[in-house]
Amino acid sequence: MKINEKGQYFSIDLLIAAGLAVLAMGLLLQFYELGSHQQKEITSQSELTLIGITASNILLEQSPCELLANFTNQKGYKVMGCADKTKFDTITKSELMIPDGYGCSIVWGLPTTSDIHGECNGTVSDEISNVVSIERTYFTPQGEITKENYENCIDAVICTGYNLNEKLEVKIWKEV
Amino acid sequence: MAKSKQKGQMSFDLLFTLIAAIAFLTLLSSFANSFLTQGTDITLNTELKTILLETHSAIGNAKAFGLIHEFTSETINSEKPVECTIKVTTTGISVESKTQGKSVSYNSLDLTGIKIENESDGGIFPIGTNEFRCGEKVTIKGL
Repeated sequence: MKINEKGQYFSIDLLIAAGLAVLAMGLLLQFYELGSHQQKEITSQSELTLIGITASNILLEQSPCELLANFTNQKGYKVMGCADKTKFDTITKSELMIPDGYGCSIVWGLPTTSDIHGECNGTVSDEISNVVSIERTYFTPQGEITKENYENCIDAVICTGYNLNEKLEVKIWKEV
Repeated sequence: MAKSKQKGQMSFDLLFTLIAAIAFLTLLSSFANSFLTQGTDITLNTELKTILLETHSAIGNAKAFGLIHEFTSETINSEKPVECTIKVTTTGISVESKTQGKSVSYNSLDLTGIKIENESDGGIFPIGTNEFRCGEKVTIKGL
């Protein structure tokens, strides 16, 4: 460590230590940055999932099947999984609680046909990487439904005049 | 003579080391402050977003299934007390931290038919003030 003999102001030990310290700080900051980014991604994914599930719930629950008079208002009896798909398109995006700034695509009647929701007819651009897709299965009667027919359909005894296993697909993404 | 020169060199080394250390720490401190501020902002924003999302989800479920839902949102986790309010109107939900001047919101929602009540005044939305505090227990009534 003599300046006049080796021409150095700092010892090699100090330089190595400083280099290592800078490297460690860099790694720490990178780790922190990656952690923040990852947290943001997770939040964004949960957000899209919850918005999608809420939209599909509202769509199915607000479009109930038409029940015959003797089948309505039966206490404790809820017709599950039955939706009148002709009502789907009349429900607006704001009624589905999809906020501004979020794109959506809603298709139903799959796999045989594919009707598209008027306000949710967007296509996902290549720039968007995070898209959540929720698929729900429902059945839809052609006309009013009776309790007997409904139960027969559930038991898979005779199920004519009903479209079974139709699929509703809700896709949500954040617009750029 | 040689001895005093050697001593002088050691002091010079030390002086340079100190200057370098001070410069490094100053730089580090300014970066750390910037990162801390950014980190605090991100954390606050994430927490506000989480509260907004869980409120949206609770109202959405109440609307879809016609539920009566006793709902208590999360509060903001912070060393300092952070005031946080949730505002619900017929067209949107917003969560605001007035002390920090930050807010997040969902707009263009149709919340017609939703009723929110609290224990003290019995009515937040659609009558009375349409705000309630984060962490306050309210009842959300669907259609």
